[in-house]
Amino acid sequence: MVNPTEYVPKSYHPRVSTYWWLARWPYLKFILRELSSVFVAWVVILTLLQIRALIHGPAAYASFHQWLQNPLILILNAVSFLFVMFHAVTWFSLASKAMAIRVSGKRLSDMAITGPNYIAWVVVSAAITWIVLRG
Amino acid sequence: MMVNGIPKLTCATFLLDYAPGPVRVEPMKNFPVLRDLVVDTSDFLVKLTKSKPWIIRKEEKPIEDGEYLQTPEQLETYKQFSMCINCLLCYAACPVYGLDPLFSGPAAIALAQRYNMDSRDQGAAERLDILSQHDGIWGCTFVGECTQVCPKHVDPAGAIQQYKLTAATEWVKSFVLPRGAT
Amino acid sequence: MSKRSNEPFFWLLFSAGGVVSAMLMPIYLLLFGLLFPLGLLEAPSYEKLVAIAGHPLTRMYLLVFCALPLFHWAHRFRFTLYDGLQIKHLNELISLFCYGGAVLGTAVAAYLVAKIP
Repeated sequence: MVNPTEYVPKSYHPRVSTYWWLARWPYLKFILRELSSVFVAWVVILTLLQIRALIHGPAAYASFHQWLQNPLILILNAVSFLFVMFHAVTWFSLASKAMAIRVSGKRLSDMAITGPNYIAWVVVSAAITWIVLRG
Repeated sequence: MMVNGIPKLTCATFLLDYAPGPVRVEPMKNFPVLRDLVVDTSDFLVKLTKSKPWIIRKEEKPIEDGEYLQTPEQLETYKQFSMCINCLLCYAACPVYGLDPLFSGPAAIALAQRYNMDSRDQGAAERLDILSQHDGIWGCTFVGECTQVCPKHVDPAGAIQQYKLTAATEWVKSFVLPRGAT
Repeated sequence: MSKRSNEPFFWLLFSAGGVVSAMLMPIYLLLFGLLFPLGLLEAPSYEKLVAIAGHPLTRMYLLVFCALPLFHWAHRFRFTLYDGLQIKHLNELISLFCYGGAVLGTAVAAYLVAKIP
């Protein structure tokens, strides 16, 4: 191919580092948010283990309950809880951005969507607690 | 340019705010550097063209029929996205654009949405055909930095999420509605 | 029209899973992962748990609770691998691992939920 001019400028294409996400706090926060999905998957596995223990009878469930008290598992679940909370909080603010709901011409503010999400969260959590704890 | 690692409009950035310094000025990230602080933004122009950032009509109204009318409410639906000055700070901030050469990028998608939401426009389906291809909008993982650096408060991240929802709704409709109905 | 990607399908599953995990997981983990094992709250007895879990509504709840968040993980993790490790060229393998894993997990969940006494 013939160049259009005698001089054709070369350009420099810097490669993106594998650690681009460490360069700034917003990027790190983003990656942590994405990694919260791994802990979400862990909660599913935990639930499946719990259901399996229920199926295998009271003795199996008792030893499952003891396993949950293992310090390493407790730490894992405590860390998972923090990440799952981080996911929930970031999710509620993300979800409001995807919806541009208009009521009589004016767009609903982010708070008008995030607020009800939090309320639903509290109500649902209370309902689950009540179902599990009532006599 | 990048000022201390953050995309900024250097024409509106004051050295006083960085005193006593030092200040690090670099060419815009994620674009090929031609020389010194000059980058090649042709890729953005290619991506922008894909968004068809103009009013698309199935049939143009003849001049005798007068102007297309629009209420203030109709203007408000897309006005924020029309504030884009194509400064490309969002592209410098977007890690996905830096990693994925096929991703359309924040401004191109926000401008597509600007026209999709415009009551005078009838080209939403045409734009979706192009942008909803695998890497057009779906590369976005909502990092949100584009919105943070935008000097005109366009909120491209919000525009992209709205567009994803629109694309998903259209996708569902294409299965539920009889084939051939647009 | 026919060239439009099927990505919306996975994105919708991801969104649904995101809602389910955001709303329902914190309280589950708080109760069963922390408060009951630590003895800060009295854990429900085996009999009570089986009674709750065996109810048809709970079975459906458990299936949704396990299936949708797995697809949320699959989608998010797939993109994290693309952008974090820059291995997008392995996208077929990654998709198979992620969505395949989610399908497998859903199958296991369905099997276990059906076997609750």
